[in-house]
Amino acid sequence: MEKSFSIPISRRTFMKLVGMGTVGMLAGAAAPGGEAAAAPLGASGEGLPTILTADVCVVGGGSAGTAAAVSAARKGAKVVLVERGISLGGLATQGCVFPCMPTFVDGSDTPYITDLNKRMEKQGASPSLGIDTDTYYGGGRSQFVPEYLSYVYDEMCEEAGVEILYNAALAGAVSDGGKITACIVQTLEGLAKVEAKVFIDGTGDALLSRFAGVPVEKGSEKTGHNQPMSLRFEMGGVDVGKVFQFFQKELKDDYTRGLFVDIVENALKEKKPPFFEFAKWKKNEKFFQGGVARGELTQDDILYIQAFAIPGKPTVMSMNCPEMPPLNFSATDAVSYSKAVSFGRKMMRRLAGFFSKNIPGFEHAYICREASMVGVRESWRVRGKYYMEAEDYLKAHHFADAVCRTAYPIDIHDVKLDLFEKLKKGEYYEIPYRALVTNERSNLLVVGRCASGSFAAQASFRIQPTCMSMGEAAGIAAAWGLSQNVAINEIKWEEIPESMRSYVSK
Amino acid sequence: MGKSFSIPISRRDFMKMAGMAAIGVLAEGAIGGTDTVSAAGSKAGTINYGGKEIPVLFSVDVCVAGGGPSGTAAAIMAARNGAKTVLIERGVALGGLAVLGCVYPFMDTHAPDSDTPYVAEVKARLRQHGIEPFDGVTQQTWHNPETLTLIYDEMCSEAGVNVLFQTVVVDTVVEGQKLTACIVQTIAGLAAIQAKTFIDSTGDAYLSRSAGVPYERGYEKTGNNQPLSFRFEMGGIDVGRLYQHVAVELQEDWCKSKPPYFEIAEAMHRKQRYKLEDLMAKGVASGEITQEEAEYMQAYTIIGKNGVMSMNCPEIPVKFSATDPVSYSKAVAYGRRMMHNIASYLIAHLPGFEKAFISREAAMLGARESWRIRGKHYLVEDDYHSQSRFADAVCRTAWFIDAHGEKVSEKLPKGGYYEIPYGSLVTEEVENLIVAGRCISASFILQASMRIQPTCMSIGEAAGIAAAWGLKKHIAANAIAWDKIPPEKRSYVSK
Repeated sequence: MEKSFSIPISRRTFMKLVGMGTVGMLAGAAAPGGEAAAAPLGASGEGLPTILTADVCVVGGGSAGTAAAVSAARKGAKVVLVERGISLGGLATQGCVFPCMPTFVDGSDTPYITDLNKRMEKQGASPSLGIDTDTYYGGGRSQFVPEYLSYVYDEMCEEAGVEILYNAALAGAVSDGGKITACIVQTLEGLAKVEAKVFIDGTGDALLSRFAGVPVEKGSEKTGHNQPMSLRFEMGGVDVGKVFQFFQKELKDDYTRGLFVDIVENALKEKKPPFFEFAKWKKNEKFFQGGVARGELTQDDILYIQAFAIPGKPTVMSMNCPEMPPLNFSATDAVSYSKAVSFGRKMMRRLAGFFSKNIPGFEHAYICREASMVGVRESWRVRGKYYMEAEDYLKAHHFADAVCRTAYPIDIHDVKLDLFEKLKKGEYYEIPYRALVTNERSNLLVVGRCASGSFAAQASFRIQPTCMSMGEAAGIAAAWGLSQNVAINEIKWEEIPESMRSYVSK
Repeated sequence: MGKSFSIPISRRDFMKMAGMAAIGVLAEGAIGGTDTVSAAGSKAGTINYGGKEIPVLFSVDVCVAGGGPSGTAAAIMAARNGAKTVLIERGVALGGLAVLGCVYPFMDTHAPDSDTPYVAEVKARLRQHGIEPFDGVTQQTWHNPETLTLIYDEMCSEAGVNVLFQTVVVDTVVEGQKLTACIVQTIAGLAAIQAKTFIDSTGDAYLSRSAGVPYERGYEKTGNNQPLSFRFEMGGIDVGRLYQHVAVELQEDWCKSKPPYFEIAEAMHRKQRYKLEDLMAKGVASGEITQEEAEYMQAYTIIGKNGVMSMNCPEIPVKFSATDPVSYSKAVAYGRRMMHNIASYLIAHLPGFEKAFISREAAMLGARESWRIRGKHYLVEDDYHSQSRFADAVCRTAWFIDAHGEKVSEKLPKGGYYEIPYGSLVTEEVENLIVAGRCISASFILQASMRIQPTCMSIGEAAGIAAAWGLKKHIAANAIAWDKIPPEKRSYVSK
């Protein structure tokens, strides 16, 4: 009874008119009687329609994947970016993860990040606070308004000619002779293949790599636990100035001090929305413990509490909590993960209730947005050609084939494991290209938090600016490898001309 | 190198303490063969899929695919009626379009006494959470998306529904006339869910299409689906100032209620003329917005979110298809640009919006219609006009035929309504499948009336009750006569 409606010609014409890429092949829809949905052999890919064909297929439109797609396309590759949701940015947009952490080293912002910062600036809210202190310095640190970011990413992809496939979930991979030849995606219409010469795994969960048989690890070698997950949210209707007064004057808190105080006070003087951040820490511990004593909060709820004002969204604060108890929930078990969502939502409610009741400035506040993806810090990591370890951080290792640098601490959200010293100011380590490629698949790059490294090493390289720089390098390398006919896992990053590289180790 | 970390026993104990259902399976980190990834080791065994062994994550009575208004209702009602139920949801919140899609508020059925017990209960629970859904004038349900999703979690937890978040249905396994399993993609990889009865509340008839059920899509005359919307919310609005401008200064009487229940609207393609059309037309003239962006603009206050309004726009031109993945993807970026243009324009020109900002974009596009199954009974436009009644009716509605851009019907006379029969929820081809929500068996034009959320909820409610009843009585889901279920067990009884 299915009627094979042809797509009106106006659409194709229309796409050209608005300067979008031409529409690729349609998933079986155009073939009379043949629909993509009923394909019982999805895992092998046999009989599935090919929905798109490209030079480079990037799976996952988060910080790393988007950078990879844009960078590859800018270097001339035909790129498809497969995204599960309907916005790019991943945790930064869908996960409400705000702001980007500092790398704690100058010179870490690669050209892609500099360009992104400029584009975000044009949206009307500066991504930079414009200050340096003893505890706040280096690259990264961008304050990206989530709703501007997804817009700017769309724009960058369109300019570079990246074809984005939204609302498509990765469901398999097809390999042949040590290469991935296609990935299988679930679209609203049904299962389909995306064929490409090079694949970039930006899934965060190493899902493409796992589908392709690349060895992986997960969790701490010592405890077996993944890093804890968060279910972040935003609260609206907050009088940020009043919250500031409460923490500074009543709680006599000095979590915010020095130049950060000046920023708030100057903004209040000029009647502008201030940037202000609070967190639970030693100086105000009693205040939050009071909530537990009164039964408003649980001990789990106050394990980690942090809130940031969002420039561009006055009266809204981004909550870096709740953090779901890692001993009880796993980021790598589908059922446990699901339970973490409902558990986290209850924690979120209690926290919001506590803030509204106890923090002046929150009297009229409400939850205005919940994250639409869980804030996973660590799940699976590939075991690639180079395996980064804590030593690389602690000894500040540099590499000839480095794709970026960082000095972000080994930040393990577990008091028993978080024992590593922070590097001295000025010291940093680098991430080698070999941590992004594997022995098993010659045309695969792995970027972002699931790159090759130990649990401890990943706890440092997992932050967004570093993921972006990795993605950027991967995109450049993918296009380079294709143009030079070099297998992706044999590229020597240091042999790519300096002018083409996003980062050159000095 | 995939290390098999065992989960300490304390977790299981903890789940019991927290009153959660026992965990089905524990992660064993098993990585399958070269080209497949399994979700997790499983006590329920494995099945062969595409030549690979994948774990069975759950083996239950009822599996519901899709946690929107109809699917959540179905899962809760099946579980309350004694069925062991799994609810598969793609995102991390239940509520579908109402929550992830920012579709707010629930439209009014315009039919007398259409609220089935489940719908009434959701409203009562909203009240318990401090959200009064009744504006005192209309029958629209003004809720609060963040509260609604919490309520759905609560209801599922109380009824014992196993919710599987962040899980995508990718395929089905059919044996003879029975659906035996659906294949899902989880964070961990592919897995199977076996069930005795399946409920397709994917909105896109995904499960049904995959299982070989015939279907239709779009309008027979044009081939177009209903338009997609990309909804969003704006914060920082001075609603008092907006009310003063629109209701007092412009004397627009479209919104019958007063703040905090306040709405503004304009729709250039409708017969009705709205005062705000002038504002939007000026934007087109000045080049600040396009005609497409000006065509349809609507905003509702959100109860419990002061200063935030839910924007029922942009409506993306029908040139983009809700049933073509590539076109749909282009619609996202296209819609996002429309959204930013509309928001910037309102901030610059609409009193009350001076300090407004986009506070949230939808996490799923607002699809009104995509695929519809062809089931045992096929509802058509005439059922609306003739106010058809059915012995096996599962609910009633009188929401008008609202096919954006194609056809908008007159409302039925006051007190009038038609009914939706159970036969439209089941198919000839698959005996243990029930379809709920916007993708039931109906023509394009009729679906334009039955697609609204309260109706989808009532359909889901009936589907859940029927699924549990059929399993208890050993009657195939597609052979159940709804009218033979004792009236006290039914959510709706045709009079």
